[in-house]
Amino acid sequence: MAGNTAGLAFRSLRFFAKSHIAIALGVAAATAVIVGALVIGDSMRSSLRDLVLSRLDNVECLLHSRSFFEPDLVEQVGQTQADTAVVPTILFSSTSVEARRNQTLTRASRVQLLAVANDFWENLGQNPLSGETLAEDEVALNAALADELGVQAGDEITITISDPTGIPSDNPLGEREDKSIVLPRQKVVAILRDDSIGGISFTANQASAKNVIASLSTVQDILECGDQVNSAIALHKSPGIDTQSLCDKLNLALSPSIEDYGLVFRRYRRVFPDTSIGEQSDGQDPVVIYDYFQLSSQQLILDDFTSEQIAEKLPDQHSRLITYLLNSIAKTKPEESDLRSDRAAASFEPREDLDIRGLALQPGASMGDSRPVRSEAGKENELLSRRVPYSTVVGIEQNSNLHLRNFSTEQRLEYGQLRVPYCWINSWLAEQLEAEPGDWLEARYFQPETVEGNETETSLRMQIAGIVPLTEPTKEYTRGRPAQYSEPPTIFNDPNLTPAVKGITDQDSMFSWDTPFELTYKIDAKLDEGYFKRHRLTPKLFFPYYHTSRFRLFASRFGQTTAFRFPIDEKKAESQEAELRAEIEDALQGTRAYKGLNFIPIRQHQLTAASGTTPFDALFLSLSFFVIVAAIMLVYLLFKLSIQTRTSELGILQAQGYSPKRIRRLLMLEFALVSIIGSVAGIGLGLIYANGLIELLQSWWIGAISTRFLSFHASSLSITVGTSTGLSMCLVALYFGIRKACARQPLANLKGSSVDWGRRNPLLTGITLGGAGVLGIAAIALGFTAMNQAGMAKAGTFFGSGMLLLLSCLCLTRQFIEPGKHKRISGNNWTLALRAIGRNPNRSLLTIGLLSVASFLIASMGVFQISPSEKGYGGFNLLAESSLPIYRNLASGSIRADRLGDQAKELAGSSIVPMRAQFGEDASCNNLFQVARPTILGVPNSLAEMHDFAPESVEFEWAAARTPENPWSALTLYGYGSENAPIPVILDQNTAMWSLKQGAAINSLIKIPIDNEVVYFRTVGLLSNSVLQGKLLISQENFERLYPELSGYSFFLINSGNKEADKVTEVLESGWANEGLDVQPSEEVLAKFLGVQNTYIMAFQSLGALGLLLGTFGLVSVQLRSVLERRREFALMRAIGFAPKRLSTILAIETTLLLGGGMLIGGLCSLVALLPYVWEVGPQLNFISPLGMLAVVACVGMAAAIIAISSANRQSVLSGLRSE
Amino acid sequence: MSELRVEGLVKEFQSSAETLRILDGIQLNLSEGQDISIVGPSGCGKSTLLYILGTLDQPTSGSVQLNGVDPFSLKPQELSDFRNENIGFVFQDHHLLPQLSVLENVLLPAMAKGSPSKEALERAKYLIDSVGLDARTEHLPAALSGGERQRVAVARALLQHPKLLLADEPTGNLDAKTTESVAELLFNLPKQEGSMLVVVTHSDWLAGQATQCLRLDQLQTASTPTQGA
Repeated sequence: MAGNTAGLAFRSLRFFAKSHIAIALGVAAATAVIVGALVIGDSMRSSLRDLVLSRLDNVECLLHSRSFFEPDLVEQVGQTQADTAVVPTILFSSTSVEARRNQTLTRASRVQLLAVANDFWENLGQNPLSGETLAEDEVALNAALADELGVQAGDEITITISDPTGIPSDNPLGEREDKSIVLPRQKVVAILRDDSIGGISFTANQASAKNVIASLSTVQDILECGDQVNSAIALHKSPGIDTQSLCDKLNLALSPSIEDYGLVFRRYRRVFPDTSIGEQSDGQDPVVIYDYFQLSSQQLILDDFTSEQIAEKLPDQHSRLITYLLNSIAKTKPEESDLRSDRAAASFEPREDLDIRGLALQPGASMGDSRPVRSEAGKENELLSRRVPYSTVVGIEQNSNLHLRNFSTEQRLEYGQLRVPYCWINSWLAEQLEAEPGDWLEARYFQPETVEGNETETSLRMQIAGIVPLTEPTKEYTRGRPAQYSEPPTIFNDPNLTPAVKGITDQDSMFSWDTPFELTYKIDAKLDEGYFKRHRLTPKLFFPYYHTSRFRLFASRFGQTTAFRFPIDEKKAESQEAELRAEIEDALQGTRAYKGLNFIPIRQHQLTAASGTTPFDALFLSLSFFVIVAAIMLVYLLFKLSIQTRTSELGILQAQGYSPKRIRRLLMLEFALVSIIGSVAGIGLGLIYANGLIELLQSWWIGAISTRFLSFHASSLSITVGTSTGLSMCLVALYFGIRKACARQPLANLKGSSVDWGRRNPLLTGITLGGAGVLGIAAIALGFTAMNQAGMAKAGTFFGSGMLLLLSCLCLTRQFIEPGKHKRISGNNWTLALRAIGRNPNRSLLTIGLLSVASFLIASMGVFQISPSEKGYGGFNLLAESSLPIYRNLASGSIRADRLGDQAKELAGSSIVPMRAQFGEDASCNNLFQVARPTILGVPNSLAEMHDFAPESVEFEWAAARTPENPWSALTLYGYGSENAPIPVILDQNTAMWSLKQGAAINSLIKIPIDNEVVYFRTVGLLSNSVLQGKLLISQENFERLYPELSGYSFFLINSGNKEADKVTEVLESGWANEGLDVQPSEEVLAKFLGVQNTYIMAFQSLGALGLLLGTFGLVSVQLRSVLERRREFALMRAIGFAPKRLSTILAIETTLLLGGGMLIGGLCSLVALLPYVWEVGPQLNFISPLGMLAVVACVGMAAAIIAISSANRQSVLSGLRSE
Repeated sequence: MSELRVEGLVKEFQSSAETLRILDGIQLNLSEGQDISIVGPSGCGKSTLLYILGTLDQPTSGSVQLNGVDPFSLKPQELSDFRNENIGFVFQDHHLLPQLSVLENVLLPAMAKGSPSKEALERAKYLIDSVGLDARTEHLPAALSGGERQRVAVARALLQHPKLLLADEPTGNLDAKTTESVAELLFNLPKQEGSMLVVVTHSDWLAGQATQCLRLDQLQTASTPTQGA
């Protein structure tokens, strides 16, 4: 006996087991989809995490300096931490590698080079070289690089790297033509797996980096840097250490010397006579001519940040110098503008509203009219002397011991009469020019920054304020031995005022100079060469430093100081050096992050990026939402079918005095048990579903994750949450079903009929029709709203409009299938089938609704499939990136001719927009890791000008722009990177929305950490579906402020014009092979980006089809149930002469009406709603995939009909009539 | 001239243990306009006989001929047509299609081969009128009482001018008063139409309304119904 509720429920559970199995399967389906989606999230996070861990092995921290340093710096630090080894390495994040195999040359660009010594392999957790290390000229490649090059162990490769030392290439003295260093014939001894240390990457991306690991000593030899390195890797022997904590400790222990910052600190002392160089003393005591410490840079100029730190931390101790090479100096006549009263020296006072770089601190602050007149070369002034070629000028701070004012000849020219800028010249130059104080000079020089790799000469007129003395030596410089004097040299006889420049200051003759530019001014073999031999590059012209500072005469983004000079106190010179060194090192501490002299917790960064990736669980939950909805609707439908067979049972219970509450409890308990069984089964199905999705992501949907790396991981939390969510949702559906069943009158239940025999309440009819009308009007209104929108918003609004239309159609359908609605008498099969559908209109509507919504989703999603269009790449049909920066302007015909010779004509007619690039993490949708430091590109003004002057050319497609008439022009606004003055930026809408998750609206702010500081950007343009996805585009001017140290161009937009794209590609790639120029068709790149979105849409469609399939199973259930309910009717119809074939036809038509009706309504609504979008936007729709899915569903639906028909036919007429 | 001739009709059911003979040598002859009621205890085979006469079930042996045609020799489609044109059924449960109106339910036999003809429509209306439901023509079965539904069933059974009308407990679910009105229709209308009527029932009163009333076992003695009581 089972008198209590539980007992009754258990008995019912057993008795109705068969129908319960169907419901349990429905619950299992809903649970499986949710569990599966959550497990996909687990798998994604865990796989990315595994990827990071396997690639980094036991690498914890990375130090990557801008300059080379002695390995002692880091080795000592490693010894301070237990179980930690810090190994010095050389790291180049972008090199070019080529291999020749079987007479075929293959190249790979943007290859990461890591040069390591034996200690790296010895301290690795798992040495992939099986305990071996790399010998000289041996390299190990990872599989990704080996595959691209097509090389195997034993082959040889050549690596090209950019010379990291020397003067910045965008400085006129910097090397621009051949800055590459080649490591030839490196033997490949191992191909390392991508998921081992071979795939080590310092930027997070699931796609494997291309890596070459080389011998440290080989790379040091080729770089001629001695033992120096530019990076260090901290490896920890035991797992589980707190990387951030380790990093903090290492950074605390790290104590870089001045030289580690790439600076030079030296004492310069000159005594006369200096017997050590052979000067005759004649018994007199040596007199100190000059004696000072000097801090200078290995790269010629001290960057502004370093200068500011030194100036701020060591006030009043230093004087700053800026030394610059002038192309020519000649005496000239002043022009009228030179003599204006506002340029009088007296009116020239230091301005507080200008910062150290002469940049306006306050909006509106300007340089004023006292700016010296500079004119482009080509404008010839009347010269009053010969041109003295290639001299150096130095700007001296007034607290220097070089007191220029002492040499003003005020008896001839008062200070107040001078016009700015005024200068001093040495006596040799005065003699050469026959110049006196008050005379005017014209200096010609290259602007301190090249423009697209080209030097631009400019001229400056200045008035002579005085003449400083220079003593002529008796013996010239010879091979490193300084000149000798018989008379005491002056303080201006100091060649150290000019910093060392390789190829110039180390030469014995001006005619041997190795300069990046042509020496076009005539060098007098006697006069000019004589000066060089006697004085080397001792400056001939002197400015007050504040002139150069204020007018930024020779300042550039690289800095405006070539040296700091510190006077020496003779009495404590020895101790002073140590003290000063300590003070400078202390001041430089503030620049450590900027200089890259800090360890970065690389493991922690990447693990954070792995965990903060695109929430794939949420993504797949949303992609699978229709499957979930379909499963729950199926559960509800199956429950209704089940309960309808038991209405008389409910009636009996009601008649026996069971309260509705108790009946509900009874049923709820019974169906809860069914649901629990279903949800438990759903766990298994969910894991299978997740596995299936992973397989799909690794194959058909590979576009969504770029590379095969995903493996199955399931957390108990996901399983618990997924199961309980699926169960809860199903229980809610069941609860409402049970409430409705129990709400029926006992008599109605006792009669046991599931059919709504009565006519419908007119009010409900009114509501249905009214609802249809309102929804229809809303759909049309939304459709009109969409007309004013653009891009995806437009498609989205049309989608919403279509959905409303669909709901309106469903309301009308409900009214259409209302029983007794049709008065026309017809015995044709279609009419009879239609009437049969009306037997249970709600059930039929549920089935049609399920099928129509799924069909709508599948059909309309096709509209969101995007194909690459010219607007996606703005007409630039080729896109190029170089491994090494290209310093010359590829757009220039002469540069092309220099490099390519005859082949240059193949590029005639093509246009190239070169961009500066700071490559960071890939922020396109190809990268699943969370992106913190994206690639930033410096866009030249030429792009905006192209828009202005060639409006007929293809423009990029914009989702939004601050200045719609020319969106690129908004970039030119000045930005400092602070919250108050953010840098204007243009980026792809998808990048903003999905990768960065910030800046997706015009004027919104984006925060990016750069060198330990947060830099602010303000969105001024959002590109739509562009090839520039994943990059932040700022103006070149702002880029140069942000990354002053970067020279050259590494990213190129190319329009091949009337030339064949393949030929242009071939010519460019072969011409700039050393720089690793890699040219790709923009359409291919864009297709890859868009492929991600299209893959998601495909996934949504496929999962929608899965939901549709569930809907079809619902249809099968409905049809089978319908056959069961109508068995007596069928028997009667057969009894009165309906042939079985005819009954089969009617049943088939019923199924067709439900299935076809659903699919037709869904399909038509999607077509009607989205047709205007398709008409206007014209996306190339892919009909094949959705039609294929719908065809499969149609087949399954018809199979449902066949099952129902065979079920109906299996039953004999007699048994039907007897209701057996 | 319609005629039903049943000779030596045997029906056996094979169970796992034994062969059960339900009908054993049934003899029955009916002519146009004749009616007969068959009574007997539950399970004696009354309905089985009725279903065999209606060609819904097949005899184990013996023959059934309606107007000289052995329906069991026909192919399935021919049998369906034969049944449609010659036989009408009235069941204890009315077996009306809930989604069809009264008129459509009556017209259902005419729909077996397609849309009903104008004549069929006229006849359906006539029959509905005859059974007193002319005001309910457009109503769905849900709107009818039990007696009304059964009247519709009678009208439906007569639509095709059947030669033979078979009624299985036609008033089994009805109260006495309704039984009377349905019985009046059942016995009068076929007679007017010239149809033969076989009624199977438990109800002595209903059986008594027939021209001839026999127990099933009486048919197994080769009895031949005669005209009159």
